[in-house]
Amino acid sequence: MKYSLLFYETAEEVGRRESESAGEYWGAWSAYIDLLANEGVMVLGAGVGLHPPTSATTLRVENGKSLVQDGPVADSKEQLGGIVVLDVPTLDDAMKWASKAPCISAGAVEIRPVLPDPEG
Amino acid sequence: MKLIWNNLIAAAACAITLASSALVKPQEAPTGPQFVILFSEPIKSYEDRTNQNAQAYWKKWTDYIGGIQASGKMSAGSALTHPDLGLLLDEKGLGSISKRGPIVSGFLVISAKNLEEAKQIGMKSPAIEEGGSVQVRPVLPMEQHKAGQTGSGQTGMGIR
Repeated sequence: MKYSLLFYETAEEVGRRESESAGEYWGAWSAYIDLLANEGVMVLGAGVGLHPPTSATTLRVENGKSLVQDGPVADSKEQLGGIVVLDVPTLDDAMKWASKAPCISAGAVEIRPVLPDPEG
Repeated sequence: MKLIWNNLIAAAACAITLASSALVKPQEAPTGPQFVILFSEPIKSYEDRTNQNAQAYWKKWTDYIGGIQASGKMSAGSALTHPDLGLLLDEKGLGSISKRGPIVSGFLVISAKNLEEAKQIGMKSPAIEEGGSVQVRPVLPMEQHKAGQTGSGQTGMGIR
């Protein structure tokens, strides 16, 4: 079954990308993604890392007018930093892999079952 | 009644497969910078996927996604199930999906000339007319951060 992991990071954590601990930050993520790939649980090509939230643009309609806002919608404490899609037998497996994400201690991981393909 | 809905869902699901498989094959792999389009749909939309509005719901989405596919800009995408089926994991443990920000209902990875074009594509999504919102974010190419690392290079993070 396919599960999407959405990686949420605090602003402070995202800030590490450009700080003196950048090497450590990226090293941890590279190691994590390599682990997922080497264990064969990640759907290749379906995952992405995202530029920081300041690069986001949010689009919606309010009172019939299109609204384009630079920056993410809400002043959430945490922002989405990346997504992977796992293909694993159970939700427990997805949870196990999610628990190893670097952002667990500086954000959160959302685990969402993906809508199944018709073939199952 | 259930049989009818199951057949309806099966028919809609087949339509999605057709739209996303190769009804119109792009000439070549998508080129240009990659962007993620994150959809946040209201809770009603999740219900519309399987209730009496399912046919209309899926037609809008397969038309939208099919159009991106036909333009050769589609890289990947997933529709996510109802937030009640999801979990949030953090230092404190497991909980239900946080409602502090917009809840992602699905996402696409597309290629576009620039952010403006990606925004145009996002603006056409059914999520907007459903009363939801769309967030467009540039994808971070991971290759630069793998510089100096030997190995597979098969992580799939932003690599197509």
